Amino acid sequence: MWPSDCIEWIRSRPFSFSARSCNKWSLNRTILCGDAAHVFPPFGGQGIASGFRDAISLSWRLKLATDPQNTVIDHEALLQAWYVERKQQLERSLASTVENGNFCNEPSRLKASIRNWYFWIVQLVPSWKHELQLGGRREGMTKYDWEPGLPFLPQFGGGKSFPQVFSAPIDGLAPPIPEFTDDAIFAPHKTTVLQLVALLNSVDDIPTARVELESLSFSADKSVMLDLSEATLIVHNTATLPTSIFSPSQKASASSAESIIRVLDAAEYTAAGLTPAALATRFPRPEPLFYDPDRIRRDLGWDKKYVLVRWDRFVFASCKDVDELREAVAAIDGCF
Amino acid sequence: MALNWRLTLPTPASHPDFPLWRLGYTPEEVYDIFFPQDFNFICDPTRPSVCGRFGRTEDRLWRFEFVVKDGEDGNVMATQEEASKIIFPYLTHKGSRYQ
Repeated sequence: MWPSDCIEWIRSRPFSFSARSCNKWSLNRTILCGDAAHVFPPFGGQGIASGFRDAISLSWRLKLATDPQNTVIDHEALLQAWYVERKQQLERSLASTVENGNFCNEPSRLKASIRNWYFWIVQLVPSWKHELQLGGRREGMTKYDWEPGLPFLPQFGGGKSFPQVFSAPIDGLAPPIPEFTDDAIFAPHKTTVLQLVALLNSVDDIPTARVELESLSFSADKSVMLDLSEATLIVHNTATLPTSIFSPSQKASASSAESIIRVLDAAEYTAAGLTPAALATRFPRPEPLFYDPDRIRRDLGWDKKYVLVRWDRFVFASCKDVDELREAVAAIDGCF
Repeated sequence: MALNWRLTLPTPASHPDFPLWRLGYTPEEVYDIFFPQDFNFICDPTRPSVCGRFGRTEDRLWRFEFVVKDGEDGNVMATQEEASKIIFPYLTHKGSRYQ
């Protein structure tokens, strides 16, 4: 037995739990967010994650609500759309939590025994085991179902979660500490609520994408919403390019906020963790199990080229060409 | 019911009779066996429980939660005496495990 004099009791207290959510999360000048708006039983590990999700999806709306140039915005509608979206995800997290709780707290010995045998058998088949490990995630990432007033374009695949994959600079090695596509798309110097992402097949597509983006025109009042000079170009299927091969015309100009990155495959991600520089960081680098470098295009559609992503990592619109993108941009004003 | 513990490592000097020293285990290894890194759902139908480490590894913090059943008093079950009856069986290993 573990020696009892090696145990210090810091805290020991009964607690109770429940699943509840407020009917309104915002009214006038008051907003309820995170645990103040909803409480979870602890079985899904969803409480803190939901709080973070609430916060990031509130953040860009607060930016819009407090923008001095934006005098026409309907604050009540803006915040109501926020909690309508959040409640959609909350219901799914809750279902997953209740599922976990029922597995753990089965009071019947017979049913508990059947449960144990079921899980033992399922884990004999690797693909079944993976399904089991995914749990509530087996349905894929969260997708908001469109309702009137929600700020995304369902006709252009809006409302989906925007996945992230490992990335590297277009003309550089994979970094010693892993970087994600989101780190570039939402880099600290990026400012606008919507970020434009171009999904490209090769570096040869970069000049065309630049020309197409420059052909779009914006009215000045969209400045808080979208700034094309902050665009992120993500190149798939590209190994490290020596800088000498990468022509100056393909590089971003020094003054631009634009980012050009490439997607890493599992082999390059793993190899990058074995360099002396990476080992020196002692940064934990989990094995890329089930990693899919094409995850963004698989989730959004292989034909999508331009994506407008909201700051909370939900897709506003994914477009197959510049004409669709022009339509999506024109629809921004009516959505916020 | 939830409790948090801070643990200290037993050593051959502080606990000379602890049996695992004879088998060559170090204090760190003993800690890892009794308080493994993974989250552990103890799906005992008579008393579902959950336990796991929390905080920084070097702080050796551990949490154990168990269901308080109908008719039991949560405050009584939270006393060291009652909680120990539930938890200590999980911290008592059979010698056969180490043969």
